This record gives sequence, structure tokens and C-alpha cells, in this order.
Amino acid sequence: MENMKPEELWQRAVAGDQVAWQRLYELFGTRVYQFFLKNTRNAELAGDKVQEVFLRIFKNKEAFKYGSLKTWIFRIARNLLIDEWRRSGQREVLSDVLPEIVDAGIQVEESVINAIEHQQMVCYIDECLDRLEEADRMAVCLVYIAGLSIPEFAEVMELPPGTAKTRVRHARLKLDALLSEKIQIKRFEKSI
Amino acid sequence: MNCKEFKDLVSETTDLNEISSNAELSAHLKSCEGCRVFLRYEESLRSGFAEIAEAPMPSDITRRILAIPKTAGSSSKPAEITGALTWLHGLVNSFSFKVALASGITGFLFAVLLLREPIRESVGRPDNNFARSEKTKQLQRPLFRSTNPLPENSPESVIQGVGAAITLDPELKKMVMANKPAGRVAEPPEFFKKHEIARAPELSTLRETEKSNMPHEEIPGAVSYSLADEEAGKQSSAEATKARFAFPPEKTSSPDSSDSSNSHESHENAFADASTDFSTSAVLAAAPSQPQRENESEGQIRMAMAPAAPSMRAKSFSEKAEEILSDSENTNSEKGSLVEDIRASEILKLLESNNLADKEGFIDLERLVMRGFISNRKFRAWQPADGNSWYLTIEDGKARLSLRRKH
Repeated sequence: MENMKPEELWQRAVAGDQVAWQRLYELFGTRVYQFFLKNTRNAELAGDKVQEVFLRIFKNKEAFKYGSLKTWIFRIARNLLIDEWRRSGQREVLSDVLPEIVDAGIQVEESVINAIEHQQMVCYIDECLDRLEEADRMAVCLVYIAGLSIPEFAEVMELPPGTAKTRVRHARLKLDALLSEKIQIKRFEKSI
Repeated sequence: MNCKEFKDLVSETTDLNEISSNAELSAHLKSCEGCRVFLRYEESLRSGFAEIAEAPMPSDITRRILAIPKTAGSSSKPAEITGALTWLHGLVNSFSFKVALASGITGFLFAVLLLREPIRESVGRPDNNFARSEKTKQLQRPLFRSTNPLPENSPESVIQGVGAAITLDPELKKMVMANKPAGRVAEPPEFFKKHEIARAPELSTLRETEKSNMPHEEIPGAVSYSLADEEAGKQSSAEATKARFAFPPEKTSSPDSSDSSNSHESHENAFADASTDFSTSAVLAAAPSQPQRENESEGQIRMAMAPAAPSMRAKSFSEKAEEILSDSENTNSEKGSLVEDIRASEILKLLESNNLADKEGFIDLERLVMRGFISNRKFRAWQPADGNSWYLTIEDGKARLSLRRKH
């Protein structure tokens, strides 16, 4: 069971294998939950949404025949998130037009980065995700939290690979800029 | 490899451990401090995201998700139904289905618009439709059978009303003559009253010898009034007048013409209506179960009720007509007057029932039609002869109708 592909687990799970279903949950449950949580900042809503995702992948047995189960799951999650955004009156976030961003790089010494504790970094990421725009946040979450590769991200977002790569890079540059700002502040505080 | 390529590669790599296994990347890292810082930053970032991704979710959500196979599985639809629903969903969402549905709806609406019968009649004339439908009924059913009762060598006047119809007004117990093309109305009471409808010698005068060739050629939906001259009173019926209303569409044979030869003064009306069979002819076939009186003498009118028509409508009329006409003591003028009395009484009854008999003067039947008190058929039945009008007089609080000439 441990070495089974997600697709095989799903086939067994929908056939009634509770162990396979639990394994599927372990593989994707928390990632899907965090994807919703970081994008909605609502734990209750995120819980409902992740339950909706798993309900759909269990009920819609005919909808998935081939491909990656991971991309199917996160495509469902992405669609549910967009529906939620639209329902809550947020603007359309899936524009293909991205503003040009200059890659400033990380302007921090290695020692400073080494000095940042792991938990501190988690807090920085969490704070910076909040400051990202919806599209960038979704891209960052899908790649770095859900663990999708660029081709998988392109499939989930229904974008060409080149566009998907640009979108991820764009989101990442913005995140890096925000994180760099955070780290510089940390460095300044340490110097004081 | 330059720094940009290194950073792009690192950013796109899902597993940073692969970098150490890449010799080219390792060589660049040794020579580039900035890329080493970047890789360190990347590792810190990835570990931070991994920490976030692996953060446990609330236990109640875990319980709900793990319970999905038990809850949803019991209520889940069978695979066949799910497949059918999926197929149906795809069909409905398909473009061709939508186009076909839109075309079908458009075609249906167009057909409804095309086939919808326009309303031609005014709302203010409520009886027109009724009269039209009644006229249609009359034309559709075989109305009359006519016989040729005249003896040989009897001069006749034959009046032919093209497209005319005579029928019984079931409600008013009147005989209504309706000319189809021009809507001309001929009133049976005038026959009874004057013993002739009109003289039309220019049309055709058929003698019995001529008619012998077609004694059985009768016209469905036609009535023949064969009115022998009362003054003659002879078997030869030389002065007999025959009024015949004939319909041109088709002809039928008289069921019996042999018995009519000795009828000097006879009114022949063979109504082959399914509901009413009123016959004043001596030769009408009548149902055995129905009361039938035959009288061979002059001035006798026999009433024959059809077996399938014991309705009250025809009965009422026949009773009245029988009462008036079968009385051999009555002269023709007296019979006509009696019929007029029937009409007058019915008009008076209508006026009184609608509180219209409160003022003396001429009765405007057309106005009664327009106001919906009477139908067109009643109007035709009640309309007196040309030049005359119904006049209402009130004497001692009692209303009375009479015919007067309107100037």
C-alpha cells in the first residue's frame, strides 16, 4: 500500500477499500487543506472545501480515467476556490497578463539566512503569502505547498507550459521580494 | 552555467537533493557565493513550505473525510445510473443538442403562429359564431327529403333558392330559411300565411310530365313546399302552387313519390335531420314507434317524427305547428295568423323577461341582436315580412305585439 501510486489507491478506495482511502487522505488531505486555508484564511471554510474535494473524487468515479490523480484533485480544489472567490465578490484573478517584475535577487548574506530559524521562516512565508495577490498566492501554494511541478501546475491551471512557468516565476519573484524585505528587517533588528 | 540559469533551475526543481547530484550545478555552486546563498535561501523556503503543507488539519475534518466512503457510498448511485446521467449531462451540454432544441422551439412557435386561426368576429356580436356554426351544421347534415306530390298536368310555380337551407330552430321552434350566398331569409310562416312564397315563373315551371323524368331527384338539404291552390280544390290541382327551395350542391331521390299524387294541398317538408324529422308530406317515412298521422284529404299535414329524434326541441315546434296546421278548419290565412301569434308571443316573452316591454313603439329587432338579447337566427325567424314591423302596445298594463307597417 505504501508503494502504490495515488491512482491505484484511488481505484481501490472507490471500490470500498477504506485503507486506500485513508492513504489517499494522508497523501493529499493536509496539502489540500492548507491550499484552501492559505487562500481563504478561513479554517472552517477550508475544512468544508477539502471535504468537498474528497467527496467529489469519491463520487465522480467516471470523471477520472487517466492522467495524474494529484492534478485532478488540485484542479477540483482550484475550481472550488475560484467559485468561492466569485461567490464572495472578489475580482477575477486568473488574468493572463502579468506585470513585469525585476528580479532583484536575495540581498541577504548567507549568515543572515542561516541565522533564521526554521519556525521563523514559516512565519515569514505565512505573512508574505498574505500579502501576495490571489493569483500569485494560488500559484505559490500549488507549486510549493501542493508540490506540483511546472507541467502539473500548467495542467491544473489549464495554461500552456510556458505561461504556467512565467506565472510561477512571477509569483515567486514577488514572494522573494517580500521575504527579502522581512529578512532585511530581521537583519536590521539583529544589528541593533 | 551562469547564475540566472542556476536560479531558474533551482526554482523549477521540486527536489533540491537533485542539485547535489548534478556536477555542473555543483561546480557552479563552488565558484559562486551568491548562488550558494540563494540555494541556502531556497532550502529554507522549501522547508518552510513543507512545514506548512504538513501541518495537521483539525481532527473533525479528518473524521469527516475518512467517513466519506461509508456515508457517500451508501447513498451513491449505481454505476449504470451515474453513467447514464453523465451521458445525459454531456448530451444536454453539447452544442448540437442546444442548436436542435432552439430550432425545435422556434419551429414550434412559428407553426403555432401560422396555424392560429384569426378571430374574425366582433366580440360585440356574440351570436355570430353560434349562428355560423349552426349554419355549418345545417350544411353538413342531410336536411330534407322532398317528394314530388303534384298530380299530372298541374301548373306549378317553382321557386328555387340557391343554397338555401331550411331548418328548425330548436330553441324558438321556428322555421328559419337561410340563404347561404346572400344570407337571404325566407320565412316559412309566410308560406302558411299566404299559401305561396313567391312567384318565380321565370325560373322554371315544371310540369309533372317533365318531372316524371326526375321525380326522385331530390336535393339534400332542400325542402319543397308544394302548395296546391286552395281555390281550385280539385284533384287535378291545376292552380296548385308549388314552392320549392332547392340546394344546388347535390341531389337525392325522394323516398317515396307515389303517395303524393292525391295530395291536393300539401306542405311537404321532409326533414332528414338526425334529431328532427318533421314532415308535412303525405309520403314521409316515419318511424313505426313514433306517432304518425296520415290524412289524405286536402289541407292535411302529417307530422312524422323521426325515430332517433324524440327531442323536446322538435316536439315543441311540432306540437305548435301541429296545433295550428293540422286543424283542417283553419284557413291558410288563419294558420298564418296563428304562426304570427306564436312569434309575437315569444318576442313578447323575451321583452318582458328583460324588462323591455315598458314602452310602446316599434320593436327594433336589429338592436336586440346588437345588444345580445337575441341571436341572428332568432332575428331572422322573428323578422316580419318586408315593410312590416313588430309594434308594441300596452293596454291596461298588458303588453301586446302586432304587425304594423313602418313608415
